[in-house]
Amino acid sequence: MSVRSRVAFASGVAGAVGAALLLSGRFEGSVVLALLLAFSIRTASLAALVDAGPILAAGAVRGLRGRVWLAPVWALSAAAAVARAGSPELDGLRGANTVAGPALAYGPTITVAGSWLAFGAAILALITWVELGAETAGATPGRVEAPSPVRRLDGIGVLAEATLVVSLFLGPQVVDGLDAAWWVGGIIPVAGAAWYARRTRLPDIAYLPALPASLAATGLALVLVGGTP
Amino acid sequence: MSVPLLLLLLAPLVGAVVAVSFAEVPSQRRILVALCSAAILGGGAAALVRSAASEVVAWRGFSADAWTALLTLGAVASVVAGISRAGALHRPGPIEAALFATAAAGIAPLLVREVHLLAVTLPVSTLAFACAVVVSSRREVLGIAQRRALVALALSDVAALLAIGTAVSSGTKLPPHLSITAGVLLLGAVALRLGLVPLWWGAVDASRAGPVLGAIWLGPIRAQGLLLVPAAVAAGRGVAYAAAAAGAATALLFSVRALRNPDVGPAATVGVSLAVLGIALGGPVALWGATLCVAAAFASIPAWYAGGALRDSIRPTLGVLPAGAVLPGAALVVAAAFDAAVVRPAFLAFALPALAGTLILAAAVASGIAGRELHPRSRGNRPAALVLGWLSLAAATALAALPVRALHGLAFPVADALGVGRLLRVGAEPGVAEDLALAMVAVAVLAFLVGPGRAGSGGPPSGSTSALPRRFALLPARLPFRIPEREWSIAGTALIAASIGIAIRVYVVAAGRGFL
Repeated sequence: MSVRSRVAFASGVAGAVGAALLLSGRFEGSVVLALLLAFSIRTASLAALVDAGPILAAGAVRGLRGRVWLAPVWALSAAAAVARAGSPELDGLRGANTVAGPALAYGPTITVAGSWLAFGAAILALITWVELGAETAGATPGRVEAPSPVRRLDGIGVLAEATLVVSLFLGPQVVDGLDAAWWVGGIIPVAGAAWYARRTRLPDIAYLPALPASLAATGLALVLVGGTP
Repeated sequence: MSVPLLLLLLAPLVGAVVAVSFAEVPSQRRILVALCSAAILGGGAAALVRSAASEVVAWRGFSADAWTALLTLGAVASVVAGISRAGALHRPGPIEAALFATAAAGIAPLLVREVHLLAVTLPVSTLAFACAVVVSSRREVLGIAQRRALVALALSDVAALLAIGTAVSSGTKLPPHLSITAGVLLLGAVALRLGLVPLWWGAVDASRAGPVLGAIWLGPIRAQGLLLVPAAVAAGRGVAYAAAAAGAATALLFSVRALRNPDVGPAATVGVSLAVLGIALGGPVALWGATLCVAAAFASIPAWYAGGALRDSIRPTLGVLPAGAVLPGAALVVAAAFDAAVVRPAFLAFALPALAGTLILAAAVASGIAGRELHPRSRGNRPAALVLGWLSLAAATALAALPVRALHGLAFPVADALGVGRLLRVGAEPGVAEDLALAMVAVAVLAFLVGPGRAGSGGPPSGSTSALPRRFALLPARLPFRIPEREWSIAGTALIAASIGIAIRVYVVAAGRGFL
């Protein structure tokens, strides 16, 4: 790996730390900042491989393309959650999920429907995974793998994005065990779905964002029409 | 007498004379040009420090507040970056002289206090740009990109001078609330100078025409556009909405272009467009975010143009620094837009494209913007590249801690200089907690040091570079219709003549009303 790859890797690690501290509630911050930091983790792990050999680099470029196309989906989903909670701060989101109930279950019917659509779009964006590695053909077929730290960083990025999705639509302030159950029950299935989807052969990513983007935009519109609970 | 202003105004003129006089003796010329460049930069930095400390920075008819000092420093840094690269061009002496002269003419509008002087200095700056176009041209005739850039700048001058002409009857200052017509004209002039949607073509052509014109446009010309933004958006709420929409759309489109082009220009444009959005929104959070974006956008040019033998190796790493520095400011501007959208959902029209653009820029920072190390296996430059990579990473991440710490240093003076009249006037505590930023910096440095693999052990992938621009292509590479070069020249000449005529008219009206 080159110096630039190391810089990309280190920026991804820094983003992981920042996102973890924000999403865990150790520091206050806005949804925008948390999204930016969480989004940067998987992006950095892909960017760390752009200077690698041709097989890994091709996958990394394809993955970066997916990240770019899915950025509007993340923006629309976050906007739907902010509009439903009535606050752009992470504390405000958790407070709304505590006081009014999780966005996916409580509130005006139209708002709940919109939250489900935006939630589904965020899940689709999360599970769109370009695996860092490829099977090689030849006399002795093998597999080209990315360095293990980069793969771990990628996994941490998935976990951070899953936590962000739960923060947006499910997670309340943690006061007792039941509150923690919302978080655990949200993060594990979401991260598990993303992990399961990593070996799935997806169609050309250039055409894929239309579905989650449409879902997220419709969800945002419904939340705006339905109003806050 | 203010030494910073003297250095800013006189050192470029001395540099122009020296560059021409010593054109045939390269070694002496390089030393003297470096001294003049250092004097200009020193003057700009001193003016910014003193104005941020609320000290008076004035000399005769020139003065600088925190905002204009920031713009001036950014403008001269960009021009000096261009000068540092001029030594490798075909006629270094005349080109360096043209750059120095353009710096003097380009920063004069930023430092004058009266509006009738602004009317004079803007066309003079355009004439200096035209001279630089001719001098830097390798061929006998100018290329189509150079002509189109010249036309765009002259058109921007005409629009700005028409707006100023309608305001000059009220005195020698730009009135705090221009008429709507004047505001729209001024916004058009701003959009042309800053390369905002839908009038981005002039800035793009200038960057495409060559490093010299790119340095001038991204420096002084862009600073002039930013100078006019507050006056334009103060004309009315509708103009401010239009400016915010243009800024948000530009951020989205040029963030994609930042991935397409291994150049820092599109990323700088994203920073500037988010700054326009922040200024249009107003309030402490958005204004501080705009200030950070502007500073980072200006810093990107010298970082990208960093000359010397190490350039090929360290440029990609250096490119990460300014592009990454845009992100903290962008996060603040977008957060302010989302804050407003909670109360008025219409603001989502600005917040969503700006957020998507910021996320895409984050991807560009890590990949496309920084380009590719041209000689990844070069052993000689490796220690310097490592040190600079380490420093740039620490500095870029540490910028996240600046908003809280530096709030009383630069943000308040800049906000005072920008005045009021924008869409928002309240906001929460800006920035990221210092402890969080410190933790991120520490972990990033550790990760850089113990990161995977040996530095430089990777090889370039085959075939992916040429395919990347096509994959991210959203905008047409060429216009569907072509206008011949001769027609562009005629249009540019006519517009420059019109701008000079309007400038004379403004000056005569000001004199007739006893303002001089």
